[in-house]
Amino acid sequence: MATYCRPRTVSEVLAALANAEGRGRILVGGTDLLVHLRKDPFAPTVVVDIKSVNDLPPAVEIDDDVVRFGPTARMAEISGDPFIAGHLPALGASARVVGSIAIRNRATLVGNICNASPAADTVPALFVYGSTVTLTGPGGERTLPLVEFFVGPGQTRCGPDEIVIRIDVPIPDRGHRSAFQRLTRRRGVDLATVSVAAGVDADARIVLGLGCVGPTPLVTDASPPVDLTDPAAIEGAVEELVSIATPISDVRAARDYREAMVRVLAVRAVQSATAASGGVSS
Amino acid sequence: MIGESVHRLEDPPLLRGDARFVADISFPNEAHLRVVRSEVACGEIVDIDVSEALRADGVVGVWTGEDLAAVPPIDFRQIGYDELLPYRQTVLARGSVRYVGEPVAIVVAEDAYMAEDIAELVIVDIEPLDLAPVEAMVLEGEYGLVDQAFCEAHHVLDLELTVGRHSGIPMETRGLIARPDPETGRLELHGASKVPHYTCAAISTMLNLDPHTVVGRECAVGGGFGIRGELYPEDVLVAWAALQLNRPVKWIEDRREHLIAANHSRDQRHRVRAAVDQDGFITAVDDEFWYDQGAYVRTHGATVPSLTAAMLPGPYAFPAYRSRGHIVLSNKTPAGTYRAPGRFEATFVCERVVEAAARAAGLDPVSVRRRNLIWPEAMPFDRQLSVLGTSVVLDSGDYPRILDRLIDHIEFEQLETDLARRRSEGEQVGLGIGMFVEKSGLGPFDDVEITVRDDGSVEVVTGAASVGQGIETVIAQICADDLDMDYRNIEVVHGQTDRISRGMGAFASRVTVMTGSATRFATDAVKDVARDLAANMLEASVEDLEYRAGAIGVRGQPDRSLTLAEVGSASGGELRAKASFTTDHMTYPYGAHAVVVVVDPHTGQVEIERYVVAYDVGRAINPMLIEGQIQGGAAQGIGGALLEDFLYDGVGQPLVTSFMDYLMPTASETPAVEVLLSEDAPSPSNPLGVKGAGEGGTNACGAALATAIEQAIGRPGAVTDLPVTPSMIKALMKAAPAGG
Repeated sequence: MATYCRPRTVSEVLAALANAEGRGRILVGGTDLLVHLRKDPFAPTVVVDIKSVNDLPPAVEIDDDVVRFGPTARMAEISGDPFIAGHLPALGASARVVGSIAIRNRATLVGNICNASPAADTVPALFVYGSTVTLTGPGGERTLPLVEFFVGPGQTRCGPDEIVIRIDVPIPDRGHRSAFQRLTRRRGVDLATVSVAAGVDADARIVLGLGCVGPTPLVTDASPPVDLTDPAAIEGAVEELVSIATPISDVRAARDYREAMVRVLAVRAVQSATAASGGVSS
Repeated sequence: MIGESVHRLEDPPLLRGDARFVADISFPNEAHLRVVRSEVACGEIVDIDVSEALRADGVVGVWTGEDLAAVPPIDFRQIGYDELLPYRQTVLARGSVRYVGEPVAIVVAEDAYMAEDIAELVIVDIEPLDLAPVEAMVLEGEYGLVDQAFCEAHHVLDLELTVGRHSGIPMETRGLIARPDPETGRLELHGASKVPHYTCAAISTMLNLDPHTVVGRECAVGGGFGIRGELYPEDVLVAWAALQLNRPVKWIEDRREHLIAANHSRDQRHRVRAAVDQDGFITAVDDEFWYDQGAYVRTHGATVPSLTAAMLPGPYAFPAYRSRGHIVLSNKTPAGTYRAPGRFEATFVCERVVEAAARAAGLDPVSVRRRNLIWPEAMPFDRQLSVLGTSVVLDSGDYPRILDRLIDHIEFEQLETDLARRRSEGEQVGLGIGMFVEKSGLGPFDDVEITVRDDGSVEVVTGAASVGQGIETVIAQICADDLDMDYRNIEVVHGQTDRISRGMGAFASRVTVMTGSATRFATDAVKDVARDLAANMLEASVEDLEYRAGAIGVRGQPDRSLTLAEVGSASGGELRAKASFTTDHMTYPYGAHAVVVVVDPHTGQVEIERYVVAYDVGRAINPMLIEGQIQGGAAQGIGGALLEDFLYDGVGQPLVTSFMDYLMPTASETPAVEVLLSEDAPSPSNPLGVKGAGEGGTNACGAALATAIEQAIGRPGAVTDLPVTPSMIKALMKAAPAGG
């Protein structure tokens, strides 16, 4: 059975993790951790609640060219933030569909990436903005691109003695447009069957973040510039980009359905991004 | 009073948060039970090691199947056949397990948290075996000259159809507290619901107790739907443990347990053939089906497949019909009845046949329905089939008229024109209609005891139960109507087995019919008793007395009267009367669903644009409550048609064990249902003319939605399996359109 601690500083957090010998887990909202606490064969022996840590970065910090999210940034704050809605619309939209209102009041963005579900709602959007993740551990801080953070379902590059201290999302240039699309069996309180975030830059190059179509959320390379007025051109570009998808069949949907839907959603996401606010995101 | 949509008497405590559900009830010194369940679908128990559990802090006791070897398996409450006896479930597994979730041991501890932790210390060693499905028996029913009809048929239809595995998911999970009362020597069962008299009697039999010492105490109930309140292994285990320990024992089911341990339902595969003449008249239906009963046969015995077999012809005349229903035991959670049991499936099959017949004959499906319906002149109509110990005699009905009501309401021709136009503009939109016959008011009896208290208020004691359906309101309305008084002055007591010697409970849409009719007789009796007593007091002959709004008066003399309370107290007590209603036959409400859906051409997702249910219940006591029943029932039927399915992998592991994967429709997926209530055909078989109203909202959802979806995607006849998922719809859209 796990023990619980509530340290006051980041260094105490790291000490608690070090003492847990690889079986420590960070608790903030608990919406994923607590559900699995009893069932997981690798269940933690130490639960480190960081909600009282006083030297964490702020939940949401908006700088000139980057928005920084600390470990306590909750989905409800992100989905309701007008700056994020204006500048990072795919992220705001994806935070808005996580779980239910009650879940969004507790669940955090950092928790969403650390849980490393292939269906993590916010990750495709974080990908298209070129987000980075900063970890801190006994060896100090290190920052890596978010795309390198995920290893497989439930697995990340966050070491057992490290914590994710920040996610940095660069604010796109004027002219960059983005949108998020998610397919669920039900409208509310459901896991995605497929999710897609699309980013379209000022030169009409498309980048897609894809959820539920691989062992981790995926991100495509940027397409060559696309004639966004030509639906066939968008479909052609999407067809190329989504070839990285390798979905499986499960209780929600069959593999071939997911393969078809990732295309449908990608086109919709691109169209939605480019249709929104005349293409100006500020 | 009858026919008025008055407010529910049940609601004030529920709305204030004062209602007490079983989990809200506690007793001093209570202990908490946790069930250790099999994690293997099929296997031999090698060993159950309880030593570590017995050493844990807070443990009160740990027991396995060997400790309960003297407790017999749970018997059938309905439709038991000898062939099914070997498949009854013991309350704890003995020697082998047959499904994931099967109780193998129980832990009792000082609190519920400890019990859950200690249960994880019980080490169950099971040697897995290959899954072993077995056919227990075949139910056969037949009338008419089936083979001859096929020889003479103009068209022969042959369809393979399946319905997935669903269940009712009450908001309140199961739970029970058994409390031995040392003072009275009784064993109280708090939380007994649905069939409290049956539950108490069965537990007393299984545990060798004097039947009078087991008392059921129903409390507030958070939903039933047929599955909650049956006698389950856990109920017996709780009672057994309480007697062992001589202290109260409480068990509250968690949601995961509920999804793998409470009854499932549906899960049928049909191969149906039909003979059709050139005018679209269906001359014979020959249906063979396989019903996945799950691992054991529980209290319902063969009820579900029997209902499928007996009710499949629905409102249609079908001159010849044959049904062969295979009851197959598998390694899934055992199955039982769930709202419109056997009929959701049967109506889907029947209406698929009717649609196919229309296509074969090149006629429109509405006129083919009309051609095949039983005419009102043929009522009462003997189906020549029987179920639940009664022969199926459709008591009354005007089936063409309910179809007309539906067609008129939706402005069918205009709607078809509009939909055709929308389809020509590229929208995938379709209309589906499903007709059905329900059954309700299962006997054989119900008793009611009425007491007029000194303050003039009335107590009605029944042997029925509440599953949230509004029994207190409806029975009070019937009583108030007869006694010409305010229904709010009537208290309806239900689910308390020490208040009335026998009772049938709440299932099969029976309470309004059975308990309501008994109430009508009991109010007549109370008036008679009052008249006899008052005759002396008023110095008048009984023939000169009349009943006036809660009082007995002398005809023609408005100032000479006594209230019922005065009559009672003058006679040295309270005024009381008792009556029974008995019947050998059920009543058969009927109706039709219509649904308009839009299917997303890219994703295959279904959006319900409009949902209409027309339902004839003979006589509506409280239309608001019936509309609520239909709305809620439709939500469950829509869930079963589009979303819900208990899936298993190849080794019998359940893949759907939480609300993450068991997709109930939410308010976002559930349309506001337009309800057309009618009273064309009061039942001749009870004094109120009523028929039950609990299940018609669910019955035809699968049938109507299947038709609507295939019309929307332009693939008539393509939908053969429920639930219809977006994946399946996309696959159907890719396939070539069917020829006809």
